[in-house]
Amino acid sequence: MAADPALHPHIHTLYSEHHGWLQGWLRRKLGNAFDAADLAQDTFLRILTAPDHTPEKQCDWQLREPRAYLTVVAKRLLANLYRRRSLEQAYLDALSALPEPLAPSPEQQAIILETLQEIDAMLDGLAPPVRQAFLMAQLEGLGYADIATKLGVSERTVKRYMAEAMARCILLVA
Amino acid sequence: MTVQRTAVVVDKAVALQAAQWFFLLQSGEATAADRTRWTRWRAADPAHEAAWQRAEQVSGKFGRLPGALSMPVLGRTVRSDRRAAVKALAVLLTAAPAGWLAWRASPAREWLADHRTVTGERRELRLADGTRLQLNTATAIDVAYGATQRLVRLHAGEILIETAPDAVPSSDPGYRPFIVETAQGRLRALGTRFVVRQHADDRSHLTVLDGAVEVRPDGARSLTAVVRAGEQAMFSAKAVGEITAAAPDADDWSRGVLRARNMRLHDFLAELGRYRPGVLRCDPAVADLRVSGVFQLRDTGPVLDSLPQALPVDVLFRTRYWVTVVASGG
Repeated sequence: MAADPALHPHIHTLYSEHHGWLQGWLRRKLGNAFDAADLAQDTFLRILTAPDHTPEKQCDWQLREPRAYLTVVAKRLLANLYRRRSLEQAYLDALSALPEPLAPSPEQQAIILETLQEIDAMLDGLAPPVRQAFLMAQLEGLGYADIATKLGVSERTVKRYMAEAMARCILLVA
Repeated sequence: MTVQRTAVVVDKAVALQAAQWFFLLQSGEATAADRTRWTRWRAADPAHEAAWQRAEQVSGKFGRLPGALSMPVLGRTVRSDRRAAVKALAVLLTAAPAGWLAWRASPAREWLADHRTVTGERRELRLADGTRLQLNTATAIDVAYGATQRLVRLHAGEILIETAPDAVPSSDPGYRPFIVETAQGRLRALGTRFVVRQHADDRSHLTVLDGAVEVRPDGARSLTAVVRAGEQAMFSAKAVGEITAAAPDADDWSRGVLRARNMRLHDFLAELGRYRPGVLRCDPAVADLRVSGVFQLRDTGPVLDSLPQALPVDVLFRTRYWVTVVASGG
């Protein structure tokens, strides 16, 4: 990774002038200095490593409205962080509700949690009924008719939901 | 050395086609002709083949997940939204019934059962498993009974819970623990009767009448505490406060009464105010007067009317919704 600030003079300026401010902004959002420091760092890293054609690299806008620009990137990371944390919590809850013999081994758990995080990130942004329908089919093995009844929509709509959710996953899967 | 990811660009339209093919083939309804068309489609463009490979990759990821564990995780309502929604709710409840309805009708909540009471209202619910739930004034809850747990989310107000034992014993794989979630943490019932109140100031209060309840603050999940019958505790997202002897009147509201024993007038009016729409204020000059008695909550008007007979105070009704209690003759 090319992390030499000299190669990215804009980002260097951005960093030296606004890093402290961003960290303060994040600290107020998160209520904790450690996460804020991490996330501020991640924000600059994201900007530094973003491909040149992405909005992150459009230097014009970086320089004109540096703080607005930083908060846009930071907010996205913040939302990711919240999502990951809420998933971890839900995962631990679901796990603690499983009786001991059914609980997966630590190795399995690591894979499951990682896979859950990946899928959760891919599904992020889908409308809730689309997400529900897709999960019912993929995780619970429900047929379209059952899903249609549960969600109170037509089978045709369920079919559309499925394609929409899968298409999104296809676009985002790593 | 770097491994280049495939240079083929899959766009939205191609992804959608791949998804449609995927479900057609998965459905088992694909004909021989469909399969031929599918093979041709894949060969027609490297992007088609790439999209197809990714569809299989996605499917493979789902295949690695145990359903019982994954459904409550991926199907959860995302927490940050939930928090924001809970904050917004406090405002909506007092200010904008139309907004509240809109929020309630939002699609994210379609598959959750919702219940609420308005100020002054109390209601009893019996849940699918026989658990008895009483909602005190100005209370909002979600009931989310799933395959692995029985969850009640308390957004605002106060509830009294008498859990029914789950149909299967706790040693059974199908056992579902009973959990109450507030904005500060989770309570796990260990067979029991208890009262939970969501305060507006980022705290929750628990009183256990029978059995025991485990408290787990959201922000400090290792700081679990068990509150037993006859005990109470306040908790925030960061910590569980001192566990003390429960007030004997913690569930009086469920019988429609407010019991005061040498209670400060200020505290008494604050409590009474929960059951009245509008503002009920106490002049600091009379805040430390003491009140004793048992008061009906169904209609708080007569309670206020009777105050000047028991105490040296006047009750000023600026409007029906704006009441101030001041020193008499003032």
